[in-house]
Amino acid sequence: MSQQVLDDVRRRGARHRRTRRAIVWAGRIGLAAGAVVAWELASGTLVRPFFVSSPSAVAERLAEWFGSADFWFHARFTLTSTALGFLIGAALGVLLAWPLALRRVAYRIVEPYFLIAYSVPAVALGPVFILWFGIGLAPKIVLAAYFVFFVVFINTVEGIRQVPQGLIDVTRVMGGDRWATMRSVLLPGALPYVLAALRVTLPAAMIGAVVGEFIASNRGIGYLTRAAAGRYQTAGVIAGTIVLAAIVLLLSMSLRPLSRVLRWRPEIRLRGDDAL
Amino acid sequence: MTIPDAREATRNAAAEVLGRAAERSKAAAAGERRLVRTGIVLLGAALLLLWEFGAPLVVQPRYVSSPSEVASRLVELVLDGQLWGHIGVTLGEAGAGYLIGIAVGLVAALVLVAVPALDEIAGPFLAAFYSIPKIALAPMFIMWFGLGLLPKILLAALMVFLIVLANTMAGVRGIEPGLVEVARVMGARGAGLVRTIILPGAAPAVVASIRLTFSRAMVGAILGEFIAATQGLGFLIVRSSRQFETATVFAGIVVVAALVMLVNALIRAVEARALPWSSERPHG
Amino acid sequence: MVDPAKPPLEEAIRLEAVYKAFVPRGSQGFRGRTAQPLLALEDVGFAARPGEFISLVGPSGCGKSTILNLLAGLTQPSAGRVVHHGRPVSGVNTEVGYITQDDNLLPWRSMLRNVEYGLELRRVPKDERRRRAREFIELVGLAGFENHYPHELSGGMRKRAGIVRTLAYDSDVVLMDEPFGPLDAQTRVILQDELLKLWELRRPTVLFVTHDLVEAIALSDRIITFTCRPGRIKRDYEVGLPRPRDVFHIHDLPQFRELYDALWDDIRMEIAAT
Repeated sequence: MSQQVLDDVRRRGARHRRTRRAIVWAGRIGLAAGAVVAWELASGTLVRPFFVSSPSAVAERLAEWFGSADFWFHARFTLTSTALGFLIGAALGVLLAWPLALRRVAYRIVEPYFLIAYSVPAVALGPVFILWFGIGLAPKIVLAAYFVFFVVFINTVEGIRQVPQGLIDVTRVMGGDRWATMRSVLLPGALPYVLAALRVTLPAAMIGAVVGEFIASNRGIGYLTRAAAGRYQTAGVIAGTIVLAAIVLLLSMSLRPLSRVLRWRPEIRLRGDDAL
Repeated sequence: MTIPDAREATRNAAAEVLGRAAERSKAAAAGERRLVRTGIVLLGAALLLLWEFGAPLVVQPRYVSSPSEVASRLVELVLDGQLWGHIGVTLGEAGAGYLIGIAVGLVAALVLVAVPALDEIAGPFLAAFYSIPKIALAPMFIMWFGLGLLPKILLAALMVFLIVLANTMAGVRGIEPGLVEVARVMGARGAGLVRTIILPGAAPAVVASIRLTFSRAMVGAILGEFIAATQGLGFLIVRSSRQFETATVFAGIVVVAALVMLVNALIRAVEARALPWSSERPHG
Repeated sequence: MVDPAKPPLEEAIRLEAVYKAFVPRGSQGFRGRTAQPLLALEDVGFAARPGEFISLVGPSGCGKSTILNLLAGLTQPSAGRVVHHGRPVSGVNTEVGYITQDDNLLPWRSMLRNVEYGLELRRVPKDERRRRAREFIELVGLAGFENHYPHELSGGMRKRAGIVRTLAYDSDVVLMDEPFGPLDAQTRVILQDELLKLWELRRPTVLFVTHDLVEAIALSDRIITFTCRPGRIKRDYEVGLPRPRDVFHIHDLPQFRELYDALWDDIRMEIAAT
């Protein structure tokens, strides 16, 4: 009897969820398809194609790009500066966090300067880096690293500091020395914060690199997009924007499994992850 | 030794222990404070000196400028009145975009809260939109809306809008269901419920997002100016960098940072007045 | 008076006229103002014989946990001496086992690896520590959960793991700070029973901080009651109930009532005094 009641409730619940999900997905697909169709129809009739181009023109431009070696050259440029900037910024952020998080006085001395540097919009530093490092790869790497560094640094410090004192005390009473505390408590305790920071900063690195290309460059997808805007080629601008958005989405998804590496599932409140 | 004597001795010992502890903790706190303060001053001085005298030894002076040059350039810009125009334009763009972004974000959040079906359908689109870099839209905006103020205002608004939307939604969802139930039991419904529970309950999260997003609005405005503009701090910075006027570039950056910090402090002061009970202090 | 140079051998630990003042945390350093220090302990002195189970009872915030922290060497007395095995405690005392109020299991280690943790820190070879850990896990009925993470265990299971983690490395003095605090009443009694059985195996000296008078009577040989802040020793009771004890029926013993009333009088007066 009770089994029957349970089964009944489960079946009815499942059916209800299925229909609901179907409706929601129909709505989503309809919305997306409707938007694309409306865009195509409106272009050239309601709005001048100069402003909105059209889905077919954008698709054509994308196809053309994917077939050309030129495009891949630009893509490689952007991805190279993203990767190098990410690695440098993340490494500096993690390494600098350790000595400072463990020394209260040193941290309090450095903190105001970090706060000042942090409140300078990173974008504003773009021209400086270009001034210093020219318009090649270097300033984009530096800009990407700058976008990454603070978020990684702040969250690593936070990760080290939020390790409960009790865990450290217990370790010491059980005979653990400094090194054991570091290895067995602080490192694993801070790890989820570091991983989460790495996850959100990988796309940030790419944005840093692209901002650098916007400001001054003759290579990269950011440059392609901006050059198209300069020549009023709407389809190219939209195609470039789509490519940039797609890469950022891919990057932010690519590191998502990183947080699933940890089976113990800590709750983290990341700092500064909406800085972009 | 009689018992009152022992009591007396204990009390004296306790007073002595307390006195010593107070002294020691005061001394330790004062010592640390002194250390931190001198550290901050020394570090700041060292950085400035390094910039002033050290950097020219390594890099070409005209690329790094120097604190004294930047300071004198800043004074020049203030005195000849140039700076105020640029500040006005950038602050105007960022401010207008900021307010528009907040308003649209709030309204959109309320609509989505009121119509859950819409929220569910639009969810993935908003999430995707949230994670694409708004900065990447800058060239498109410039192309569409020209060189004037409009594209920068819209870019600034866009930078703010989604954050406010997401935080408001999170704030409404984060209201304790118990609170709503209690209010229902006591007879609140409809607009009354929204006014007495939902709005104040979501307010801290909303205010937090409002506080955090002004710097984003500035980023939007400045980036827009980098790409194409004839006025504004971003324009000043980027033009000077093309002409290798390093001192002006740094002067512009100093002004931008100062503005961001100033406005943030202002917003925080207003917040402390408006929501004295809010304990939400998000980081960032 | 005790001659500090020649401590009697029949003592595991001893506190001599201990005072402890501390500056409340969090209130320190705002705009340079320093909070006034508080006196946590005042003239506290007692000694524990080897193998004695002593409960420290008193209202919240009367410095009982401070006594454990002093013995563990996590904090130093402002005046007086804290002695362990005839030697004053200076620096972290790795010769005691400390079971803290929070279970303080490492959330990123499986239960088994948590129980091994103390042995690992003491450089016990891997096979040996695995064997010892499994033995203790078996004793408290946690077998089968070795690979679970703390967040996957119930409150009672975490407590058991925390307790055997400390008992597994076999120190002769064990400090326990309200280990069963947040548990429900039934689980508490079951764990009290288990604790007594574990304790009987080796009979370490135990200092057990608790609010629960029944728990104190059921477990201890001696009960020391404390006054409210500053914490002073109020009275020192010999429990005198025979061992092994039946914690489930401890209330039925005639001596129980008498002792309970006496303890409750002490505590009530202290709570009323605040």
